[in-house]
Amino acid sequence: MPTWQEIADRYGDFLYTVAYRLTGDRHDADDLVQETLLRVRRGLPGYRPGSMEGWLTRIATNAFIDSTRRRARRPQTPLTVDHDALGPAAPGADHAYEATRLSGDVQRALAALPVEYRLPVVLCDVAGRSYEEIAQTLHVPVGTVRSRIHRGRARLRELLG
Amino acid sequence: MTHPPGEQLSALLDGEMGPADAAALRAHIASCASCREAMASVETARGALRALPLVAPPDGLTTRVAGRIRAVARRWARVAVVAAALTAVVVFVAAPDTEVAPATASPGGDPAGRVDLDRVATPTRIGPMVLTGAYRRGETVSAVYQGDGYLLTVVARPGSMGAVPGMTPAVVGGRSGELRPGTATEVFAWQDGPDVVSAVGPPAAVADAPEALPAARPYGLFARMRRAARTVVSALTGFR
Repeated sequence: MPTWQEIADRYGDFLYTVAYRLTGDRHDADDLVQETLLRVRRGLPGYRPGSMEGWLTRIATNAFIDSTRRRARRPQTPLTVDHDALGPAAPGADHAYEATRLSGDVQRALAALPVEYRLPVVLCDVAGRSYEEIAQTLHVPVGTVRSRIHRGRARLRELLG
Repeated sequence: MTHPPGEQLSALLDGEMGPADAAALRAHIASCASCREAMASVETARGALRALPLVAPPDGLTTRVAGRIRAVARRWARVAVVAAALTAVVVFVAAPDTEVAPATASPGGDPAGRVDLDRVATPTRIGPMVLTGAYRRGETVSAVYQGDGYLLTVVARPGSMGAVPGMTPAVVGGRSGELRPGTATEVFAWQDGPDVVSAVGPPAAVADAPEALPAARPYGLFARMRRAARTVVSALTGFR
Protein backbone atom coordinates (compact mmCIF):
# COMPACT_ATOMS: atom_id res chain seq x y z
CA MET A 1 0.00 0.00 0.00
CA PRO A 2 1.63 3.26 -1.08
CA THR A 3 1.64 6.33 1.16
CA TRP A 4 -0.04 9.52 -0.01
CA GLN A 5 3.41 11.10 -0.46
CA GLU A 6 4.46 8.27 -2.79
CA ILE A 7 1.23 8.76 -4.74
CA ALA A 8 1.89 12.51 -4.87
CA ASP A 9 5.39 11.87 -6.22
CA ARG A 10 4.40 9.27 -8.76
CA TYR A 11 1.05 10.64 -9.95
CA GLY A 12 1.61 14.34 -9.23
CA ASP A 13 1.83 15.30 -12.91
CA PHE A 14 -1.25 13.29 -13.82
CA LEU A 15 -3.25 14.66 -10.91
CA TYR A 16 -2.18 18.25 -11.42
CA THR A 17 -2.86 18.06 -15.16
CA VAL A 18 -6.39 16.75 -14.61
CA ALA A 19 -6.95 19.42 -11.95
CA TYR A 20 -5.62 22.18 -14.19
CA ARG A 21 -7.74 21.10 -17.16
CA LEU A 22 -10.82 20.93 -14.92
CA THR A 23 -10.33 24.27 -13.17
CA GLY A 24 -8.51 26.21 -15.88
CA ASP A 25 -6.52 28.03 -13.22
CA ARG A 26 -3.19 27.21 -11.57
CA HIS A 27 -4.21 28.42 -8.14
CA ASP A 28 -7.49 26.50 -8.22
CA ALA A 29 -5.67 23.44 -9.56
CA ASP A 30 -3.25 23.67 -6.64
CA ASP A 31 -6.16 23.83 -4.18
CA LEU A 32 -7.89 20.93 -5.90
CA VAL A 33 -4.80 18.71 -5.84
CA GLN A 34 -4.23 19.51 -2.16
CA GLU A 35 -7.82 18.62 -1.32
CA THR A 36 -7.54 15.47 -3.44
CA LEU A 37 -4.39 14.34 -1.65
CA LEU A 38 -6.03 14.93 1.73
CA ARG A 39 -8.90 12.71 0.62
CA VAL A 40 -6.45 10.17 -0.80
CA ARG A 41 -4.73 10.01 2.59
CA ARG A 42 -8.06 9.44 4.34
CA GLY A 43 -9.23 6.93 1.74
CA LEU A 44 -6.04 4.88 1.46
CA PRO A 45 -7.09 2.21 3.98
CA GLY A 46 -10.09 1.44 1.75
CA TYR A 47 -8.15 1.45 -1.52
CA ARG A 48 -8.35 -1.82 -3.44
CA PRO A 49 -5.64 -2.57 -5.97
CA GLY A 50 -6.86 -1.46 -9.37
CA SER A 51 -6.35 1.54 -11.58
CA MET A 52 -4.65 4.17 -9.42
CA GLU A 53 -5.38 6.80 -12.10
CA GLY A 54 -9.04 5.80 -12.06
CA TRP A 55 -9.21 6.06 -8.28
CA LEU A 56 -7.42 9.41 -8.21
CA THR A 57 -9.64 10.74 -10.98
CA ARG A 58 -12.77 9.79 -9.03
CA ILE A 59 -11.52 11.52 -5.89
CA ALA A 60 -10.40 14.62 -7.76
CA THR A 61 -13.74 14.81 -9.59
CA ASN A 62 -15.70 14.62 -6.34
CA ALA A 63 -13.49 17.31 -4.80
CA PHE A 64 -13.94 19.47 -7.91
CA ILE A 65 -17.74 19.08 -7.85
CA ASP A 66 -17.78 19.95 -4.15
CA SER A 67 -15.72 23.07 -4.78
CA THR A 68 -17.94 24.22 -7.66
CA ARG A 69 -20.97 23.79 -5.39
CA ARG A 70 -19.28 25.85 -2.70
CA ARG A 71 -18.53 28.53 -5.25
CA ALA A 72 -22.12 28.45 -6.46
CA ARG A 73 -23.15 29.39 -2.93
CA ARG A 74 -20.64 32.26 -2.92
CA PRO A 75 -21.44 34.17 -6.11
CA GLN A 76 -18.76 36.80 -5.46
CA THR A 77 -16.14 34.32 -6.66
CA PRO A 78 -17.56 33.18 -9.99
CA LEU A 79 -16.29 30.04 -11.68
CA THR A 80 -15.63 31.83 -14.95
CA VAL A 81 -12.01 31.84 -15.91
CA ASP A 82 -9.86 34.86 -16.44
CA HIS A 83 -8.85 34.10 -19.99
CA ASP A 84 -6.18 36.78 -20.09
CA ALA A 85 -4.32 35.06 -17.28
CA LEU A 86 -4.09 31.82 -19.20
CA GLY A 87 -2.17 30.51 -22.12
CA PRO A 88 1.29 31.46 -23.30
CA ALA A 89 1.33 34.66 -21.27
CA ALA A 90 0.86 32.75 -18.02
CA PRO A 91 3.95 33.05 -15.86
CA GLY A 92 6.49 30.57 -14.58
CA ALA A 93 6.52 26.91 -15.32
CA ASP A 94 3.90 27.25 -18.03
CA HIS A 95 6.63 27.97 -20.53
CA ALA A 96 8.33 24.65 -20.04
CA TYR A 97 5.21 22.65 -20.61
CA GLU A 98 2.89 24.82 -22.58
CA ALA A 99 5.26 26.28 -25.05
CA THR A 100 2.91 26.01 -27.94
CA ARG A 101 0.24 28.58 -28.58
CA LEU A 102 -2.05 25.78 -29.70
CA SER A 103 -2.36 24.22 -26.26
CA GLY A 104 -3.10 27.67 -24.84
CA ASP A 105 -5.96 28.05 -27.30
CA VAL A 106 -7.30 24.59 -26.49
CA GLN A 107 -7.02 25.30 -22.76
CA ARG A 108 -8.95 28.56 -23.17
CA ALA A 109 -11.66 26.79 -25.18
CA LEU A 110 -11.84 24.01 -22.59
CA ALA A 111 -12.19 26.51 -19.76
CA ALA A 112 -15.02 28.19 -21.66
CA LEU A 113 -17.05 24.95 -21.80
CA PRO A 114 -19.87 24.66 -19.28
CA VAL A 115 -18.83 22.41 -16.39
CA GLU A 116 -21.33 19.70 -17.34
CA TYR A 117 -19.50 19.24 -20.67
CA ARG A 118 -16.00 20.04 -19.47
CA LEU A 119 -16.08 17.34 -16.78
CA PRO A 120 -16.79 14.29 -18.99
CA VAL A 121 -14.52 15.62 -21.75
CA VAL A 122 -11.59 16.03 -19.35
CA LEU A 123 -12.24 12.65 -17.73
CA CYS A 124 -12.24 11.03 -21.17
CA ASP A 125 -9.58 12.90 -23.13
CA VAL A 126 -7.21 14.01 -20.35
CA ALA A 127 -7.65 11.39 -17.64
CA GLY A 128 -8.23 8.57 -20.17
CA ARG A 129 -11.27 7.09 -18.43
CA SER A 130 -13.87 4.87 -20.13
CA TYR A 131 -17.49 5.98 -20.62
CA GLU A 132 -18.55 3.41 -18.02
CA GLU A 133 -16.11 4.74 -15.42
CA ILE A 134 -17.13 8.33 -16.15
CA ALA A 135 -20.81 7.41 -15.79
CA GLN A 136 -20.10 5.86 -12.38
CA THR A 137 -18.00 8.81 -11.27
CA LEU A 138 -20.58 11.40 -12.31
CA HIS A 139 -23.59 9.29 -11.31
CA VAL A 140 -25.25 9.64 -14.71
CA PRO A 141 -26.21 7.02 -17.34
CA VAL A 142 -23.63 6.02 -19.94
CA GLY A 143 -25.88 7.49 -22.66
CA THR A 144 -25.63 10.88 -20.96
CA VAL A 145 -21.83 10.61 -20.80
CA ARG A 146 -21.73 9.73 -24.48
CA SER A 147 -23.84 12.73 -25.56
CA ARG A 148 -22.08 15.18 -23.24
CA ILE A 149 -18.64 14.14 -24.44
CA HIS A 150 -19.75 14.59 -28.02
CA ARG A 151 -21.42 17.95 -27.42
CA GLY A 152 -18.43 19.11 -25.43
CA ARG A 153 -16.08 18.24 -28.28
CA ALA A 154 -18.38 19.83 -30.85
CA ARG A 155 -18.57 23.03 -28.80
CA LEU A 156 -14.80 23.00 -28.35
CA ARG A 157 -14.36 22.63 -32.09
CA GLU A 158 -16.54 25.72 -32.63
CA LEU A 159 -14.56 27.68 -30.05
CA LEU A 160 -11.29 26.73 -31.71
CA GLY A 161 -12.67 28.18 -34.96
CA MET B 1 -29.09 4.50 -43.81
CA THR B 2 -30.02 7.86 -42.30
CA HIS B 3 -27.21 9.93 -40.76
CA PRO B 4 -26.24 8.54 -37.35
CA PRO B 5 -26.49 10.77 -34.29
CA GLY B 6 -23.30 12.76 -33.81
CA GLU B 7 -22.51 11.13 -30.48
CA GLN B 8 -21.95 7.83 -32.28
CA LEU B 9 -19.01 9.43 -34.05
CA SER B 10 -17.38 10.23 -30.70
CA ALA B 11 -18.20 6.78 -29.37
CA LEU B 12 -16.62 5.19 -32.45
CA LEU B 13 -13.42 7.18 -32.00
CA ASP B 14 -13.32 6.25 -28.31
CA GLY B 15 -13.78 2.54 -28.99
CA GLU B 16 -17.06 2.65 -27.08
CA MET B 17 -19.20 0.84 -29.68
CA GLY B 18 -19.94 -2.82 -30.22
CA PRO B 19 -18.12 -4.39 -33.22
CA ALA B 20 -21.29 -4.77 -35.34
CA ASP B 21 -22.46 -1.19 -34.77
CA ALA B 22 -18.95 0.09 -35.35
CA ALA B 23 -18.68 -1.76 -38.68
CA ALA B 24 -22.06 -0.45 -39.87
CA LEU B 25 -21.13 3.09 -38.87
CA ARG B 26 -17.76 2.91 -40.63
CA ALA B 27 -19.46 1.67 -43.80
CA HIS B 28 -21.88 4.59 -43.68
CA ILE B 29 -19.15 7.15 -43.07
CA ALA B 30 -17.18 5.77 -46.01
CA SER B 31 -20.08 6.51 -48.30
CA CYS B 32 -21.33 9.77 -46.77
CA ALA B 33 -19.43 13.00 -47.29
CA SER B 34 -21.29 15.00 -44.64
CA CYS B 35 -20.62 12.33 -41.98
CA ARG B 36 -16.95 12.24 -43.00
CA GLU B 37 -16.81 15.96 -42.47
CA ALA B 38 -18.53 15.69 -39.08
CA MET B 39 -16.14 12.89 -38.14
CA ALA B 40 -13.13 15.00 -39.08
CA SER B 41 -14.43 17.82 -36.93
CA VAL B 42 -14.80 15.58 -33.88
CA GLU B 43 -11.38 14.09 -34.52
CA THR B 44 -9.84 17.54 -34.55
CA ALA B 45 -11.33 18.47 -31.19
CA ARG B 46 -10.53 15.09 -29.66
CA GLY B 47 -6.99 15.13 -31.02
CA ALA B 48 -6.37 18.66 -29.74
CA LEU B 49 -7.53 17.67 -26.25
CA ARG B 50 -5.43 14.53 -26.21
CA ALA B 51 -2.38 16.44 -27.42
CA LEU B 52 -2.54 18.76 -24.42
CA PRO B 53 0.72 18.41 -22.51
CA LEU B 54 1.13 17.22 -18.95
CA VAL B 55 1.37 20.12 -16.52
CA ALA B 56 3.82 19.73 -13.65
CA PRO B 57 2.58 20.70 -10.19
CA PRO B 58 4.24 23.70 -8.57
CA ASP B 59 7.12 23.05 -6.17
CA GLY B 60 6.29 22.42 -2.56
CA LEU B 61 2.84 21.01 -3.18
CA THR B 62 3.49 17.96 -0.98
CA THR B 63 4.88 20.21 1.75
CA ARG B 64 1.76 22.35 1.67
CA VAL B 65 -0.46 19.27 1.92
CA ALA B 66 1.62 18.00 4.87
CA GLY B 67 1.09 21.41 6.50
CA ARG B 68 -2.66 21.13 6.05
CA ILE B 69 -2.61 17.63 7.54
CA ARG B 70 -0.79 18.99 10.60
CA ALA B 71 -3.29 21.85 10.87
CA VAL B 72 -6.20 19.41 10.78
CA ALA B 73 -4.48 17.23 13.41
CA ARG B 74 -4.05 20.28 15.65
CA ARG B 75 -7.73 21.11 15.26
CA TRP B 76 -8.68 17.54 16.22
CA ALA B 77 -6.29 17.65 19.14
CA ARG B 78 -8.20 20.65 20.52
CA VAL B 79 -11.49 18.81 20.00
CA ALA B 80 -10.04 15.75 21.75
CA VAL B 81 -8.86 17.85 24.70
CA VAL B 82 -12.30 19.38 25.12
CA ALA B 83 -13.94 15.96 24.75
CA ALA B 84 -11.60 14.48 27.35
CA ALA B 85 -12.27 17.38 29.69
CA LEU B 86 -16.03 17.01 29.23
CA THR B 87 -15.75 13.27 29.81
CA ALA B 88 -13.87 13.95 33.02
CA VAL B 89 -16.57 16.36 34.17
CA VAL B 90 -19.34 13.89 33.32
CA VAL B 91 -17.56 11.04 35.03
CA PHE B 92 -16.66 12.94 38.19
CA VAL B 93 -19.36 15.54 38.67
CA ALA B 94 -22.52 14.51 36.91
CA ALA B 95 -22.61 11.05 38.44
CA PRO B 96 -22.76 11.68 42.19
CA ASP B 97 -24.66 8.47 42.76
CA THR B 98 -22.11 6.29 41.10
CA GLU B 99 -19.10 5.13 42.95
CA VAL B 100 -16.29 6.31 40.82
CA ALA B 101 -12.82 5.25 41.68
CA PRO B 102 -10.37 6.56 39.16
CA ALA B 103 -7.76 4.06 40.08
CA THR B 104 -4.53 3.25 38.50
CA ALA B 105 -2.35 0.70 40.12
CA SER B 106 1.13 1.99 39.55
CA PRO B 107 3.31 -0.76 40.90
CA GLY B 108 6.18 0.30 38.69
CA GLY B 109 6.30 3.72 40.34
CA ASP B 110 5.96 2.50 43.91
CA PRO B 111 8.69 0.28 45.37
CA ALA B 112 6.25 -1.30 47.82
CA GLY B 113 3.84 -2.16 45.03
CA ARG B 114 1.16 -0.28 46.95
CA VAL B 115 -1.72 1.07 44.95
CA ASP B 116 -2.34 4.78 45.30
CA LEU B 117 -6.02 5.40 44.73
CA ASP B 118 -5.80 9.13 45.30
CA ARG B 119 -3.63 9.73 42.30
CA VAL B 120 -5.50 9.73 39.01
CA ALA B 121 -2.55 8.16 37.27
CA THR B 122 1.16 8.32 36.92
CA PRO B 123 1.47 8.96 33.21
CA THR B 124 3.06 5.89 31.72
CA ARG B 125 4.27 5.64 28.19
CA ILE B 126 2.92 2.80 26.05
CA GLY B 127 4.47 3.02 22.64
CA PRO B 128 3.44 6.39 21.22
CA MET B 129 0.84 7.06 23.92
CA VAL B 130 0.48 7.56 27.64
CA LEU B 131 -2.40 5.99 29.49
CA THR B 132 -3.51 8.56 32.04
CA GLY B 133 -6.51 6.78 33.50
CA ALA B 134 -9.47 4.49 33.12
CA TYR B 135 -12.88 5.33 34.51
CA ARG B 136 -16.28 3.81 34.70
CA ARG B 137 -19.71 5.35 34.96
CA GLY B 138 -22.64 2.94 35.03
CA GLU B 139 -22.11 0.57 32.18
CA THR B 140 -19.65 2.75 30.37
CA VAL B 141 -15.90 2.51 30.62
CA SER B 142 -13.68 5.31 29.49
CA ALA B 143 -9.93 5.33 29.22
CA VAL B 144 -7.92 8.45 28.56
CA TYR B 145 -4.71 8.24 26.62
CA GLN B 146 -2.39 11.11 25.95
CA GLY B 147 -0.69 10.93 22.61
CA ASP B 148 1.80 13.20 20.97
CA GLY B 149 -0.09 16.47 21.23
CA TYR B 150 -3.50 14.93 21.75
CA LEU B 151 -5.72 13.17 24.22
CA LEU B 152 -7.69 10.13 23.23
CA THR B 153 -10.72 9.07 25.21
CA VAL B 154 -11.80 5.49 24.64
CA VAL B 155 -15.30 4.74 25.80
CA ALA B 156 -16.35 1.12 25.96
CA ARG B 157 -18.84 -1.03 27.77
CA PRO B 158 -17.50 -3.52 30.32
CA GLY B 159 -16.36 -6.67 28.62
CA SER B 160 -15.98 -4.87 25.33
CA MET B 161 -12.53 -3.47 26.02
CA GLY B 162 -11.34 -6.22 23.70
CA ALA B 163 -12.75 -4.06 20.92
CA VAL B 164 -10.26 -1.36 21.88
CA PRO B 165 -7.24 -1.60 19.62
CA GLY B 166 -4.42 -3.42 21.33
CA MET B 167 -6.45 -4.78 24.26
CA THR B 168 -7.34 -8.46 24.43
CA PRO B 169 -9.11 -10.57 27.07
CA ALA B 170 -6.68 -12.09 29.58
CA VAL B 171 -6.41 -13.36 33.15
CA VAL B 172 -3.72 -11.59 35.18
CA GLY B 173 -3.15 -12.08 38.91
CA GLY B 174 -6.32 -14.15 39.15
CA ARG B 175 -8.49 -11.41 37.59
CA SER B 176 -10.24 -11.54 34.24
CA GLY B 177 -9.74 -8.35 32.29
CA GLU B 178 -8.30 -6.82 29.19
CA LEU B 179 -4.59 -6.83 28.57
CA ARG B 180 -2.36 -4.82 26.34
CA PRO B 181 0.80 -6.94 26.42
CA GLY B 182 4.25 -5.49 26.29
CA THR B 183 7.75 -6.54 27.19
CA ALA B 184 8.76 -3.43 29.16
CA THR B 185 5.34 -2.02 30.01
CA GLU B 186 1.91 -3.52 29.82
CA VAL B 187 -1.58 -2.35 30.60
CA PHE B 188 -4.15 -4.50 32.33
CA ALA B 189 -7.68 -3.25 32.92
CA TRP B 190 -10.25 -5.13 34.91
CA GLN B 191 -13.56 -4.78 36.62
CA ASP B 192 -13.41 -4.30 40.40
CA GLY B 193 -16.93 -3.98 41.77
CA PRO B 194 -18.33 -0.84 40.19
CA ASP B 195 -14.93 0.29 38.98
CA VAL B 196 -12.69 -0.44 36.09
CA VAL B 197 -9.11 -0.37 37.24
CA SER B 198 -6.05 -0.27 35.08
CA ALA B 199 -2.55 -1.26 36.02
CA VAL B 200 0.36 0.04 34.06
CA GLY B 201 3.90 -1.11 34.52
CA PRO B 202 6.38 -3.92 33.95
CA PRO B 203 4.61 -7.27 33.38
CA ALA B 204 5.79 -8.77 36.72
CA ALA B 205 4.54 -5.76 38.69
CA VAL B 206 1.24 -5.68 36.83
CA ALA B 207 0.70 -9.36 37.66
CA ASP B 208 0.88 -8.46 41.37
CA ALA B 209 -1.35 -5.39 41.04
CA PRO B 210 -4.82 -7.02 41.29
CA GLU B 211 -3.95 -8.55 44.65
CA ALA B 212 -2.41 -5.32 45.91
CA LEU B 213 -5.50 -3.25 45.12
CA PRO B 214 -7.39 -2.30 48.28
CA ALA B 215 -11.17 -2.25 48.31
CA ALA B 216 -12.39 0.66 46.25
CA ARG B 217 -13.69 3.41 48.48
CA PRO B 218 -16.50 5.81 47.61
CA TYR B 219 -15.61 9.39 46.89
CA GLY B 220 -17.49 12.43 48.10
CA LEU B 221 -18.89 14.92 45.63
CA PHE B 222 -16.34 17.52 46.70
CA ALA B 223 -13.42 15.19 46.02
CA ARG B 224 -14.86 14.32 42.62
CA MET B 225 -15.27 17.98 41.70
CA ARG B 226 -11.75 18.81 42.81
CA ARG B 227 -10.40 15.94 40.75
CA ALA B 228 -12.48 16.93 37.72
CA ALA B 229 -11.26 20.50 37.95
CA ARG B 230 -7.66 19.29 38.16
CA THR B 231 -8.13 17.05 35.16
CA VAL B 232 -9.71 19.81 33.09
CA VAL B 233 -7.02 22.31 34.03
CA SER B 234 -4.21 19.93 33.19
CA ALA B 235 -5.86 18.93 29.94
CA LEU B 236 -6.37 22.52 28.83
CA THR B 237 -3.00 23.85 29.91
CA GLY B 238 -0.86 20.87 29.06
CA PHE B 239 -1.89 19.93 25.57
CA ARG B 240 -3.16 22.98 23.77
